[in-house]
Amino acid sequence: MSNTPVGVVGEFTDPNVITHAASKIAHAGYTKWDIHTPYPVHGLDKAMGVKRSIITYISFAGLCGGLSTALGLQYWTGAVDYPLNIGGKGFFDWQFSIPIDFELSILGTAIFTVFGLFHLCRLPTWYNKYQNDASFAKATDDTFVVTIDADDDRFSAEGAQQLLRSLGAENVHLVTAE
Amino acid sequence: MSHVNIGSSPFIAKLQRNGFILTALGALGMAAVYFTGGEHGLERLMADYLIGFWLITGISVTMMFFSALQYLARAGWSSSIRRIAENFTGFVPFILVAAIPIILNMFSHHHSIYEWTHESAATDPIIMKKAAYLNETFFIVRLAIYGLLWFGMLRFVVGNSLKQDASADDITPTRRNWKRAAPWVLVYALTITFCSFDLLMSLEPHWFSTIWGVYAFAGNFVSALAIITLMTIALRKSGHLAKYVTDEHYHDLGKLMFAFSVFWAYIAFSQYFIIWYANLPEETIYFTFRTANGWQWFGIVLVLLHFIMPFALLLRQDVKRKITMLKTAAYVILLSHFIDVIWIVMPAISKVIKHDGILFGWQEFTGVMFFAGVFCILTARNYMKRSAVAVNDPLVHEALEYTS
Repeated sequence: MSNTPVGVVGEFTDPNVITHAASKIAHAGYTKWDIHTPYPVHGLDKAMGVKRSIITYISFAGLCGGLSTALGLQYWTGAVDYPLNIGGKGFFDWQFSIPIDFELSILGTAIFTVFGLFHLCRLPTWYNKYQNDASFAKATDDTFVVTIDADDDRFSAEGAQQLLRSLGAENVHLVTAE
Repeated sequence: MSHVNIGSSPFIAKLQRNGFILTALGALGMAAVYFTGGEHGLERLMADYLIGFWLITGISVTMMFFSALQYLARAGWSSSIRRIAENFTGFVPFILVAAIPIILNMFSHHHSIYEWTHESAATDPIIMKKAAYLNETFFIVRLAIYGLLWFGMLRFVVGNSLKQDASADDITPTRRNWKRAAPWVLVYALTITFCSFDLLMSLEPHWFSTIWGVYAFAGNFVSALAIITLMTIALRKSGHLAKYVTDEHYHDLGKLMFAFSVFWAYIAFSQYFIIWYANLPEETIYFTFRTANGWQWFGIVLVLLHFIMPFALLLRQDVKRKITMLKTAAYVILLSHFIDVIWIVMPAISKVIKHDGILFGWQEFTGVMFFAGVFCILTARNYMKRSAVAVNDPLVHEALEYTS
């Protein structure tokens, strides 16, 4: 299995060119491809045709979880399991439940957001199939690196390389598994 | 870049005309309040006058604060819409003049809306202890200090912004604002706090709340943002700001409105919660009176309109770029701020004139109409005098191309 293609890699140095290239690659119909940048580029996700993240719904689920935990906990401990008269207040009044509701809602939202983001970003990932490529390493320094995966339906080693070259990529090459 | 002079546009003409109509209707209405009010006509009139005065004073002054805040943060995004806030400060030089009826009213002892000016206050054990602060002379002195400080802030912060219009190369005026915005923000914080103590909290002289100033600020700031948003939308729609305002500005204004309606709710609840929990009679009088006799509906409506509706309307990312949703949220915020001030003022007045139940009707719209009309006229006047955009602001290029 020495020469199985992994994908095609191309380097860009200009953030404006990469945004233009991203929309071209997306229009060409590729789905399994990615761009690795040294810093966040505004508008790149739009150009790549990345769909809106579902993270907000995950966060909302966290909010609902946190809020219902807060209400349930206060109601069950305060009014059901161990009712105590404190300062003549009710066993379960909405007024005193608000700070706990607020805090636990935020806690639930934050935890779900952080771990949801980990999941959506596939973190932690210990291995990337391009990690041994010299171009790929430059993405952490000063280069925008485009990778088109070999398992994309439209992938052909020649076609993908040609596309990247026509968009202005430098050092376009095929990466193979060793 | 050349100035954006829209003073002769139909939009500004309409703003001015509507301002005159509102002022006239408000003035007629206030006269009607006085003459139909019977024994307590003067108190009712002054209460409505105070509502309008506080709403427009607070918002006008907060517009200066908005401008100072942008300088303090050296914000680039807002530099193309900052002038919209600055053009809303036309009422600031007239605050002291408009305060005269409130001061005169304090001396009509039987009809003063401030209980601490009544003769009975001299023997009231709680008010007696506050007499060093709550007396007519010091009240007038304080009002004069606020008015003069605000005028100074207007001349300095807004003045420097206007001076920048003259030249694109020499940015000395903007530098001056960058350097001195911080102390002016401090001046704003102190004056709005103490002014809200004097004008509103002292309507309930037996009561006190240390968070009152923050509460007043929160309501004013979110309302100022709502007005800025409405004006930005209106000016862009009529084509005047096409070059300077993008959807990104809508998005950021929407975010700010969202954040500060939540901030208002946080502060309002903090005030209520601590008083409710401690349950001390001298603190609970405020809320026990305002959560009974029908006044509780104002409180419930406030929770819905001042917090839940803006929250639900503006939560999603995409709605902050949709004009209809933004406008709805802005109008809801303005309406709820009005209800908030009514809920503060009118129950106190009903105590002073010993009226049972809700004291609210058409009368309460007259004062705010009058002052809103004056506000519109003075704003239109500012647009006739100056550029609608701070075209020479050194950061204005950032506002044209930023992504929020």
